Amino acid sequence: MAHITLKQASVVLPIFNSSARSLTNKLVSAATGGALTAQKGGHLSIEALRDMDLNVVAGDRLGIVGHNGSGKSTLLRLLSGIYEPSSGSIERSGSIASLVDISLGINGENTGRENIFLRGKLMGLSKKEIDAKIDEIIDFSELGDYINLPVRIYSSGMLLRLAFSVSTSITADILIMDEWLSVGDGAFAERASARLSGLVDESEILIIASHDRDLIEKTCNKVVWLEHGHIKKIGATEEITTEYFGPKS
Amino acid sequence: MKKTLGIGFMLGWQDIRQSYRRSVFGQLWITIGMAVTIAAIGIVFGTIFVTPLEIFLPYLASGLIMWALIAGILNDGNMAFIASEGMIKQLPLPKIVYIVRIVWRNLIVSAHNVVIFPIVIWIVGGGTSWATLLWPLGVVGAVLSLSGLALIFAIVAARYRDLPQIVNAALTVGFYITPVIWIKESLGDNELVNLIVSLNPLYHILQVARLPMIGQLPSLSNWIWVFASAGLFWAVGIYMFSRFEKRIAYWV
Repeated sequence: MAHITLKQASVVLPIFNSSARSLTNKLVSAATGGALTAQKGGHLSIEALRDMDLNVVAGDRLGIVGHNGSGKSTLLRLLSGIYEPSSGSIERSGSIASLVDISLGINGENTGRENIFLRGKLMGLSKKEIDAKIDEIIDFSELGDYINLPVRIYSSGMLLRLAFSVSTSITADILIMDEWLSVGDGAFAERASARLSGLVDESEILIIASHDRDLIEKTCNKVVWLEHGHIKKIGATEEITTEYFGPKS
Repeated sequence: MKKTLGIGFMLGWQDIRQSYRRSVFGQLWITIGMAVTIAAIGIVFGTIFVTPLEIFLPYLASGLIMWALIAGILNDGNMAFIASEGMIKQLPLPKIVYIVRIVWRNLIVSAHNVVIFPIVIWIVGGGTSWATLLWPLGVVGAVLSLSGLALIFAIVAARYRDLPQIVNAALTVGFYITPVIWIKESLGDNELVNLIVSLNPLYHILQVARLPMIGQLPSLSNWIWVFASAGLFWAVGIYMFSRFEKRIAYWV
């Protein structure tokens, strides 16, 4: 069974190009972001996440809410294994798919078809696995003959369609998203949303950061509220959203 | 591991294709650039050194081609993690991918340059012998040593951004104090020159990768330097990597 457990996990990001002396006094009291602290070496660092205890298990649909700079993206990165905690620990089992930056690795000079391979490989697929999926991906993207043309001539909407179609072609135990992906227009947007929902249903764990109340209430069964890099509150969806967003009008 | 290597190779290829897409000659520009350099330096310095072309030109071509590989791996090694910041911060790939990427990219470039060598030999003559069979071993030794050093540089440079500038400057000096375009023997038996040259690890790396091309045997000390340095660089590199791999995402 897939699960992720954080124990007292912190992510302290160093800022090497600033001197602590000149900045600390002015910045510690900033209204947003994690706490700024001076390190031994004289440089400044941000406590992007501090002493996080979190347990996510199969069946969880975890929503993450919080203001800008409260640590949502950092938490997603910590959970997906990009950052290892600078102190504390993370324990994880199950395959992970991140839909945070679906266009990553796409190369404008390559054709759509080549980019499917590029992106697929980066997501951990083998050539064989991509071969098996590629027709379905191209069909879904509805790019037709454009698939054999360089991606740089695509409109931004077409590019997103391509990125979306590849990125959602794999299933994983743990799915990580920053806001619900919405791509394309009209009918395509609906198909895309259905495909994404299908992907979510197949995954054991969903972790999604969002500012969208309806989305959180619709998809999540558990919400964590971040503030200044630590967990302000965690609990059932209704309870947290009412407190965070205010009573429903 | 196979997947990691595969992704590194793919990214290395992409870098090359990306640089030359839509130009008429494409990747051939790598070859053309090197050929023009060899021809220009060959004519000027061949005249200055009063060395017969059939000796000087193969020496020069082999030297420049292999130096380009040395400098390329080391300069790119610095940037291995820095230049891949976007990917490092979005994908939890094993970080060694980015080292494979730059080494592979430079090997591809070098393969484009190496094709010039037989053409030089064909035009001016001179060159190969049984010793040439040792060339693959020389290249393997050189690349092993260089990639170990590149790993060390990549880690340090991610944390201390002055390193790329230092290495870059050092390689510019290195080009002049290493017998790439000048012939050591032509300076006579100068003790200072001998000392500077023999303590320069890049000299030994260059010797094992270049001499077999022009049909000469690298000395035993060349081979020892190269394989010993490869072992040392990788030992230090792997130690640092195992210690700092997790910090790299924080540094870039």
